[in-house]
Amino acid sequence: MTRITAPGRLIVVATTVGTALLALPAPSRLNGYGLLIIALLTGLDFALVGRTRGLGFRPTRGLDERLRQVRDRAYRIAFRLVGLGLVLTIAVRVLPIFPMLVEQASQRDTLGDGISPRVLFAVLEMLVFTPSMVLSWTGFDPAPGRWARHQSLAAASSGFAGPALVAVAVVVAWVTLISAGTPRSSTTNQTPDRDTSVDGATCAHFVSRRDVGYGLGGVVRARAEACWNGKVAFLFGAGPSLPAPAGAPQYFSDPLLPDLMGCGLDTDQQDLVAIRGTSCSASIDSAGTLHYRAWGHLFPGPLPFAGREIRVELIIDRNGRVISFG
Amino acid sequence: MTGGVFMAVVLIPLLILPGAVSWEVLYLPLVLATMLVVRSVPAEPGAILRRRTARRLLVGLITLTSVALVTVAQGGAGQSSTGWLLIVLVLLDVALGRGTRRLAAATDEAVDEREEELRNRSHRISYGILALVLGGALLTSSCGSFATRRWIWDALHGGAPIAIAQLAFFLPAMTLAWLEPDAVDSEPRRGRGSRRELLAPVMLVATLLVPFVLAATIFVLPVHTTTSTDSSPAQSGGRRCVEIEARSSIGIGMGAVLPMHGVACGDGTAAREEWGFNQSDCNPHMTDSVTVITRECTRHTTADGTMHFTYAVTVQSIMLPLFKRDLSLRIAIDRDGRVVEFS
Repeated sequence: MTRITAPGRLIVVATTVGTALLALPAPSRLNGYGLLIIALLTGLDFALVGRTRGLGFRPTRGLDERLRQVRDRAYRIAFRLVGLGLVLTIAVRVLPIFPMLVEQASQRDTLGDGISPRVLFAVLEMLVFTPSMVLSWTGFDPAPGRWARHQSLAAASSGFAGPALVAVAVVVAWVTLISAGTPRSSTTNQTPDRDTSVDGATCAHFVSRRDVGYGLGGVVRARAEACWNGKVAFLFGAGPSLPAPAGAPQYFSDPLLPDLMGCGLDTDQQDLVAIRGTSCSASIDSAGTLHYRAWGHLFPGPLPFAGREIRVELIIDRNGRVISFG
Repeated sequence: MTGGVFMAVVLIPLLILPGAVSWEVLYLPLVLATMLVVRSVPAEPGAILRRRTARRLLVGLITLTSVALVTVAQGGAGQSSTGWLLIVLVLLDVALGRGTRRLAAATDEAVDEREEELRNRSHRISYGILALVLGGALLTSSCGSFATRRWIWDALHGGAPIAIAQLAFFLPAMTLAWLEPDAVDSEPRRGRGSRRELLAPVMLVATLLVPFVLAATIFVLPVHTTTSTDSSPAQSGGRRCVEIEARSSIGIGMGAVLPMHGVACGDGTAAREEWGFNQSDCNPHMTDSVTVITRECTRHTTADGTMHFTYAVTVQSIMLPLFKRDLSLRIAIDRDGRVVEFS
């Protein structure tokens, strides 16, 4: 009844590696390749469920005593593995145990980001498919005949075509979701920004967020530090990449303060999506009003395909009145 | 022997270092000692936990504590309650272990066929609950809105990891405690338990009560105020200066200390603050498991040249949030630099 097979264990190892790649903080950015990992995992999950005839998901009704025992024992082992996996995930992703591995913007700006989408998918993968992984690892193989009506599932998942088809379907669904779905947006500003001190001026910190795939792909973020002194509104800490427009004080571009300003869209959230061509521009009109624009292209995977433009605009007058932001 | 170790670890440092060591540090050995004693006795549910109703109540308490960790313990005053909630959770888990005879964590060799089936079944049910609760919470909060995304971030950087660990390690025992019917005595009761068996429940109850007793001292015991004045520092140019140091404290272990330290001088026409009697000096010291709200922090000089400084707060316990107590320090220094009121 129990037949330990190399392919069964190979699938489990591949699934574990894929899940670990998503859960671990290194590499800090997957640059859109996270989509390929998820697609691969979905294909492997399909193969796992097929190989185990979906026993991990079957209700007790309809199972004989032996199968119930096999299933429940797998769940017991899976529970312990998932517990360990969750604790490790929290330790490396939430607690600052490996801060050097985590590349992100300043903490106050990442507060509203929620959990990283790669962590979300890693946890969901663990929670849903670990019992099937245990069954596959321990070599569960139902007696022929008993599960005849599930042979079609087994046959579909045993080769390469079935799992590959499922993986492709996931990619297509993801591309559709990202390129067709309207991103929700949120803006926050901290006025005055007590963390910033500029002579004779008041400053505010602005953060704009767009969610990706209804939150499944994380968020795209743009940040700006704007100051005003009654004569002119200007950016602070933009660094030399953004030349100071006419009328701007000297510290418009100097110093570079990446915790306050990012020229364009922040790129630390590129796991399941890729952000390319990000840039920014700024101008100050004759009334002293600042016009700042940040933009970039969001792609639903590592390839420059089916992307959409994300554009953020901040207009603030010389007295600190926000005319437009979003 | 256990009592001796307990005295050495917990009570002696307290006697030697009054006020120097946080009570949480001293309380931790008590919790550990309780855990060791409880674990050392055979895990029999006892008369109370033998009943399914009691076990379900226990599961309910554990669930409530876990929910409190996720929802309450986020930043500020809530952060300091995380430790207490964790301690309560640990003690409830110890009781849970007794109530289920630690069957959920038992090895294959330690269980018979019926127990093995029961243990594995509870794991399967627990797995479903864990997947639904955790997966559902993560998915809905990530896809819900920016507010829910912020909420899950805050929760994960607050008490949620403890709640998740609770689910990941104790949910099968909770399921078992919930499902198992009233236990039937299979063996005749012994006439008298060992000393340790008698000590274990006493320590468990005492350890659970300690935080609440400490919280009660904030409202029951009198305010303790110490003052000292020194007029020697500066008596020149016709001015008489006085240095004042005072501490007003409430509670043992939990509570707050209100400090006042400053110098004021009188020149015959009015008393004036040199340092230490400003708004920026109104900061409570050594607040522990309480929320301190400043009611008044004022300095004014009356027509006769007397300077009055008042610092008053309201102290609210985190463990017993329905109770509050006012605490204040008032001082008046006349135009000749003499302290005329100190309360």
